Amino acid sequence: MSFITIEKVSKEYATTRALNGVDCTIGSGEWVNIMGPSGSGKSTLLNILGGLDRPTEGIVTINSTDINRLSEDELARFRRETIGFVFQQSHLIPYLDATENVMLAQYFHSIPDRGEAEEALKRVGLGHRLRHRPAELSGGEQQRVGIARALINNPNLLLADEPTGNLDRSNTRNILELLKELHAQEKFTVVVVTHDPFVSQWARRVISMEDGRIIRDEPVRS
Amino acid sequence: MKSIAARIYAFLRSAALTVWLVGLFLFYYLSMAVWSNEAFGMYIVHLSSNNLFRGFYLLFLSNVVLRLIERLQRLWSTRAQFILQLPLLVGLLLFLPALFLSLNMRKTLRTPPVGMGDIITVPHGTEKYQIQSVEPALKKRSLRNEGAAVFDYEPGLMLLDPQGRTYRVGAFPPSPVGSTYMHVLTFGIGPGVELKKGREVVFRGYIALQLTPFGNVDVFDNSDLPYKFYLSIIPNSTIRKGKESANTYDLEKPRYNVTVVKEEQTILNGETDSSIRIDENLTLSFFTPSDWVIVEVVQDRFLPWFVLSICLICVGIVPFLFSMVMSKLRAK
Amino acid sequence: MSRFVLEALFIGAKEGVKLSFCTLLVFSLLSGRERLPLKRSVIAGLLVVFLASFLLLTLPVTFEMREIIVRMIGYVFGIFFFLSIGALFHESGTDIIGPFRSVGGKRVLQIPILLVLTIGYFAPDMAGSALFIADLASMAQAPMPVFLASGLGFVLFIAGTAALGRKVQPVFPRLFGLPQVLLTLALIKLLAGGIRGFAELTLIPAVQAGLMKLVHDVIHQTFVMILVPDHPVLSTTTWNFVGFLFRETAGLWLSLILLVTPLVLFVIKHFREPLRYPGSIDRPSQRRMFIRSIRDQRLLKSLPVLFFLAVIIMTWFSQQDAPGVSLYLPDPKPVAADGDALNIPIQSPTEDLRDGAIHKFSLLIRDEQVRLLIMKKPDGTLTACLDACEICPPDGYGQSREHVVCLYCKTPIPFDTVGKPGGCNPIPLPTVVTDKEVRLTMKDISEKWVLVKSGASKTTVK
Repeated sequence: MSFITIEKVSKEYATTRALNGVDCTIGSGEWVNIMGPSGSGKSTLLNILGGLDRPTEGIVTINSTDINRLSEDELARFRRETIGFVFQQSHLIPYLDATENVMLAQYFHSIPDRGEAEEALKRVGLGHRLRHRPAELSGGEQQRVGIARALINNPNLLLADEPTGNLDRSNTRNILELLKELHAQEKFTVVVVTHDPFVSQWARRVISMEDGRIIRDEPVRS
Repeated sequence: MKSIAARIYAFLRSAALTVWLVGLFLFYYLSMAVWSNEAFGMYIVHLSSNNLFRGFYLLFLSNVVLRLIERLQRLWSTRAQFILQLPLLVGLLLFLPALFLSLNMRKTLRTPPVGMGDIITVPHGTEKYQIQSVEPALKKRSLRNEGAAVFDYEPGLMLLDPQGRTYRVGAFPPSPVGSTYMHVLTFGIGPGVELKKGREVVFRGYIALQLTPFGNVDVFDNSDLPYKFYLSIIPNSTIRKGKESANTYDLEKPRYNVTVVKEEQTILNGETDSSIRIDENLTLSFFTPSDWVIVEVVQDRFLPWFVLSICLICVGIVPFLFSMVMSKLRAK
Repeated sequence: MSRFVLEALFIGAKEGVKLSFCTLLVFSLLSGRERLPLKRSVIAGLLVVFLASFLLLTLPVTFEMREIIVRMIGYVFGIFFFLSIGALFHESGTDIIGPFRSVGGKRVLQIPILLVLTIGYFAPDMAGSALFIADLASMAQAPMPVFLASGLGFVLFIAGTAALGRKVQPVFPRLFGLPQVLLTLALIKLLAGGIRGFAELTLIPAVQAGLMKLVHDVIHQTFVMILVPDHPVLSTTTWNFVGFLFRETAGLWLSLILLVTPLVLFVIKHFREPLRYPGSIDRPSQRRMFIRSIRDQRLLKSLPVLFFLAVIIMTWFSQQDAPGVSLYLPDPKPVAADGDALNIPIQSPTEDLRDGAIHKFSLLIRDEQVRLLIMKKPDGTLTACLDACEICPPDGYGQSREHVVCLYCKTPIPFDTVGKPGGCNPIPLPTVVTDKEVRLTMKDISEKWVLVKSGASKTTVK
């Protein structure tokens, strides 16, 4: 049964058409990578999936909820309870330490719980960096904090936009190994946007986009 | 059998019973307070005379005692908390039975106004004490202004028992005298009064009147005479300095305002420190007044426990609250 | 529109708002088909109250009736206040129904209890307002517009509040559980229950006085038990330790603590109620969500309590000198004139007019009882007035610590302004004060008495 259904989704900006009648379904617990050159519409699609943007046409259903029909408040609650985000920049708050950055996500979701936040950081291998601020962490460590933050509220869907874009190959491998391990444990659905073929190897399925359309949708051979 | 006992025990120690009994008391109190005013005083009276009230009180007593004992047992594992909460909890444990026993077993006598030479007999007993002297609450000669206190000193008296032992009794705290506790409830001045009809003395003696604070009017009469005599003590003299003024009082020879009323008609109003003629035949004279006191005599072996419980409760409140706050902080 | 009609409109509106708001509150607890009989029971209670109020409109009003109604309002406040505390204890884990559970759940018992509570709750206020409207009608030149205005205000505001309530009512379950409803009903009595006029806090001084009496009673009884004598004979040292307990401020603070403590406990207990997680929770984030939702619920349900807490604390001290049961009300002493002269001695064996208290005297003028009031003002002069003013019915005056207070409109009048004409001041009388007596003339008294009796607002002195 599909967890995400995208039906004829288009997105137009003033002068450009970023998405052009995209159709696609993603099953529950799947790991899908979306690839394509810059301007192909992959980030726009991810933003629409995450409820950060609304399509001009078409329907997006996540976990049986048509997210276009939700009000702003309902959409915010839906995002809070269902979706975790990882971005290229980790967007950590510089004056909060690693634990507090994770607790911030708990705070916006429900209530902060330090013990639980520390446990999440230990799971991403940062048990020794709990009280460190972002400036005291490496890029890879910052991205681990970002992942811990994205997953702290047990989302059913993890959306990642170039999660390893700023990392070297070794750190990229570590982060993806970590995501793979967490994905295996928690069984959430993962959608990663990337242009890096190396990243695609971790997915079960790769969707390729060009000019706002899906041009290829094929499984990855392990 | 065992299960019935266990159920009774569970009922007696239950928080629900506490809430119901407190609720019942509040309902009683509210009803009495709204409809008849003297609610708490009535409750205290009922507690010493009405079996229904006694029954509910004893139920409450057993409930609270069981809950307090359980609480103390629970606290035993954390000694610091146990020590901090002990005074208040023991105070409460003592207070409830001591109040009940005191109210129900206490024997009280309030003497009429008594003075030097009078005998005090304890209630339901044979002990007798003679008043050797009364320690007055007022200076014999004093200068008083408007804001002066009613009395200058705490009054007292010396008692003598048949064995020749003496006891000093003040106003507070009560003094143990034989099997009783005694204390002075109030103090007053008894003017020395002589009523003469022609040359015949109709009456001569001291009359215990409530003339303090000075200016207070009290009344006496004599069954042989158709008069009522209203007396108040007025200053012997007034000293003025600028806007300030003060009055002098000489209690060896006080000055009285005298109003004599016959059949609701005032027939005389005057001031004197010696004598005043009321009609052609009758003269009212004053001689040096005497001091009188009203003494409360109480036989109550639970009084020390009651006082101790109140002291423990007062002392125990702060450490109890401290302990509660500490335990909450620790729990966080 | 005459003042009486307007006032009647306000009274009707006030009762309408109160009644519909309280009913909406209660109905928010009685939603669902299975509770329909309970709703009907409330409606039946309201009908009984209406009928009784109409009957009351036809009865002659006595001071005792007013007194009884005020007491009833106080009583209902107390009962609902304590019921709300009991309900809170029950809802937050202390099972206080216990053995009565099987009986308490039966409709056959719930329906009459609800009926009695409805009648008991609404009857005193409605009766009080009915009496007040009857009063207004008797003072107005034409009574019918007064009755109609009160009825109009009542119906309009019931309809208005009910219409508004339909929109607001969905929020009620989030703000009000059973304890909150009971507490709100109690506090509505405290803040808006009364029998005189639109905006009133008549119950606060009475509750204050009652609680202060309790405090003083407890202190007094304790002192009697431990054999402490009356304070004049205590030594200064002992008095320094215990004297503060007898000051009025101590009574005021302790009575406030007595009233506020259950409310504070209410909030604390409400927040500390243990969480019971539903079995469906299996993720940490769900657990946090659940805690958050419970916290939000508790916060919302504490808001009415916190609101009333703030209002009570604010009004407590502002009302301490307001008219209430603590007013000094001496009985008038009968005096008789000697021809045209009325001479009242300044000092008699039983009283002294210069003692700072108000002194009342009564005399007959053409078969009418006229009351006089004499008191020493702060500047030391004696002043004599009628025990009535030009604008209110002549209920007379009581004395508080710093004012004489009109018993009808509750206006406090500073001692300094007693003896000055106008407004709600006692009507001054031309007076000659010698060193022995206060001299008045019957001619002056009769002339001034006309002022009391003139004007539409006046009823004759009983």
